[in-house]
Amino acid sequence: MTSDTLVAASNRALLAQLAREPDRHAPTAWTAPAAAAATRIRAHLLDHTRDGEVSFETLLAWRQGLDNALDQLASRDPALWTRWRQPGTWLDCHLRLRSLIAHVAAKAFWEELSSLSYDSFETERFLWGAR
Amino acid sequence: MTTTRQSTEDKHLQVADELIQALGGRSNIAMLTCCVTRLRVRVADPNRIDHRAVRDHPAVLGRLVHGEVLHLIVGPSAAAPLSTACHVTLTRTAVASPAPLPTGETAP
Repeated sequence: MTSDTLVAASNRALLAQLAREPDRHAPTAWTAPAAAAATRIRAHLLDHTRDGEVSFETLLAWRQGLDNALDQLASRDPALWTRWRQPGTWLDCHLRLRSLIAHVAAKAFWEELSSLSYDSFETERFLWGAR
Repeated sequence: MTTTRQSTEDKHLQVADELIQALGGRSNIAMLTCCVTRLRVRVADPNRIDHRAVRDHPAVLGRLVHGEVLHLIVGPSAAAPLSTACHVTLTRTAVASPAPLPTGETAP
């Protein structure tokens, strides 16, 4: 396995880890939009395990799905949002996932790329911003 | 290369125009400036903002509201050129409007 392939596999695994199920202690009705958005991302990763890259359209769809879900969670119950937004929670993972996807999608947008290889994701740089 | 730079400038102008439209149009921009990673915008009428269009634009990494100022996070490589492009677009409008070009706030 080449180093590029290893980096790509590592980044794919990171995406799948961040797109985790909401905590079972959080109200299911409230977390449902986030659970659905994360499930779609994990399903894509599972269905395309051999893909070395992801399309710009897919990245935008992931980002929009997460934005819709996270906006709903924030507006429906601000108290729950604040409580679960702590570092290390499932919601923190979703926010970081959204940030990472937004940054790589923007890179593809500005560079007019139809797809991005997973090994090109600058996770150390983009995982922590805009959340 | 000149061709590439021109293409990049055109793209910045295109994105600036799209963002200004999403923010309610040129007449709705009361102030627009930038810091390292963000465009800072104050609008005349917040109800004219198409928040979904702003949020979903691929150049916008995130949004924050600080008082009356909307911060659009666009990244360090895009903030300054996008701000310039926005002012080019707003200046074109200024020909038909007596209002001065909105500028002003400094980054913290």
